[in-house]
Amino acid sequence: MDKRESYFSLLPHNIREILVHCTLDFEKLQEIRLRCNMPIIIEYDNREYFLSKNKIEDSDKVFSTDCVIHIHEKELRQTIDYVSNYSLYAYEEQLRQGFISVRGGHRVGICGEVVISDGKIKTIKNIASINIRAAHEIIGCSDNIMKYLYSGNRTIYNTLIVSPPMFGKTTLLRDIIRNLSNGYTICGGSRIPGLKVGVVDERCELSASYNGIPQNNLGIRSDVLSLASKDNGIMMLIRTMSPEVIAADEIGSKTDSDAIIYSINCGCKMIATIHGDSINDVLLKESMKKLISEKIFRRFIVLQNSNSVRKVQIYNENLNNIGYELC
Amino acid sequence: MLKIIGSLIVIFSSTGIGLKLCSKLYQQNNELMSIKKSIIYLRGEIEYNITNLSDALYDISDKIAEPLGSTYRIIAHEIQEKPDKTLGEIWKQNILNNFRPCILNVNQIERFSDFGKSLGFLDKSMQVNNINLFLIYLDDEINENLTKQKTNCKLYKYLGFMGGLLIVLIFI
Repeated sequence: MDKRESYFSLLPHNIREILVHCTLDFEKLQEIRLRCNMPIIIEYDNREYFLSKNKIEDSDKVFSTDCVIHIHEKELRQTIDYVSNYSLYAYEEQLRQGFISVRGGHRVGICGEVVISDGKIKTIKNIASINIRAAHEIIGCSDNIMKYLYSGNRTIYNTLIVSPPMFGKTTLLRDIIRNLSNGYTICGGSRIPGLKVGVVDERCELSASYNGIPQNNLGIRSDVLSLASKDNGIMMLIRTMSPEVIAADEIGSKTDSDAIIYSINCGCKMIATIHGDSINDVLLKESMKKLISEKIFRRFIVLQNSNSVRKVQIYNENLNNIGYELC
Repeated sequence: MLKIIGSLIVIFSSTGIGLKLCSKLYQQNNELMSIKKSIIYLRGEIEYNITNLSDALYDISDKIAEPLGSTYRIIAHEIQEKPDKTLGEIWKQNILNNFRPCILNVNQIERFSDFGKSLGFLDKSMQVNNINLFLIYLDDEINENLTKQKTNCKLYKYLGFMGGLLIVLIFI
């Protein structure tokens, strides 16, 4: 089942038929939002659309939502059945974090009533809205950046990718992991051999694992620990998988930075992402000050997004700009 | 000579009818035991492996006898096809279609086919509780059958033989 089929199979039959009839370019489909008794909203090619009987309509040009297709409770429940393979109990751990990872690498965000037990979130019941995000890998988006990360002697610099949300830092990290794992050729024709990469995938965004099997291409030497917290995951990987590089998405807490220091002291290199507009923004975070000021991270990749073109600025440990690429 | 052969045929036939009724009780019990075993496997898959239903049913289908094994495989396949039905409907249709000609009684088939309505939603502990409730029902049915076997089997065998003998005596 390819990604397009696996995505559309999550939707109720009537909606599926309309979308198939619309002949959308799946590569441009970002997400479909289903809210109980509300119009279906489609994020397509960075614009918002409603779904009508046989086409999608730009939301800016629709004056009344009465004529577009709404999703009802029964259809929402059917979608949950399809997303969970009629086995919602099997996704308790993911539900606690508000999402379910499905075959094909797609992620389904879920909102409803949170059930609390012993002060912790146990599950989400009475699900009222669903966000089905389509998985799109961009293979090769990090090819121009790899040369900045290589430090010689079969290793890389500890690297931090900085960007605001929705700028593609996870997509970039995923491709970097793939390149590190498979090996890559830098300019000048030197072939860098593949490294053993341990991936701590706390929210299944990097690997989009389904039944433990990564649905995204993370390379032939990558070991993925899904749904583990970063501190526990890093320790487990170091103890059991002897990684040469550890990758983690969205670090930021004190426990994350302690785990990173531990892994570096164990001889692993680290590559991670963090939310922020710039390196100065990251320096304001108390937990990251030590990692940056003591030059533990020696490469910074800062993402900027301008008219759908992603610009990447690369900085060294002294925060000097050493490169500028498009990806 | 012919009379003797005829008498033997009558006695064997009527004894055979008695044994057949008795074996039906054994088969019913074996079928219930097979269902119980499969539900215990299902509980294990849900409780310890936290496997989703289609994968659990595929795994279980290899470990149990037919026709239950192939029924579970068909249900698992249909779940993956994501049809325009609820899980309860998928389960019920397949159980009724595959178990209709079998030896369970109507109540047992109905109860087994309704079991699917309690699967797939809510949390793991609710699933396990629902399965345990169904296992209690199966245990009751199996025990009732065993009691019937003890009392009725001898009766069927002797009635069969004696009935045949009576017919032979009447007609000779």
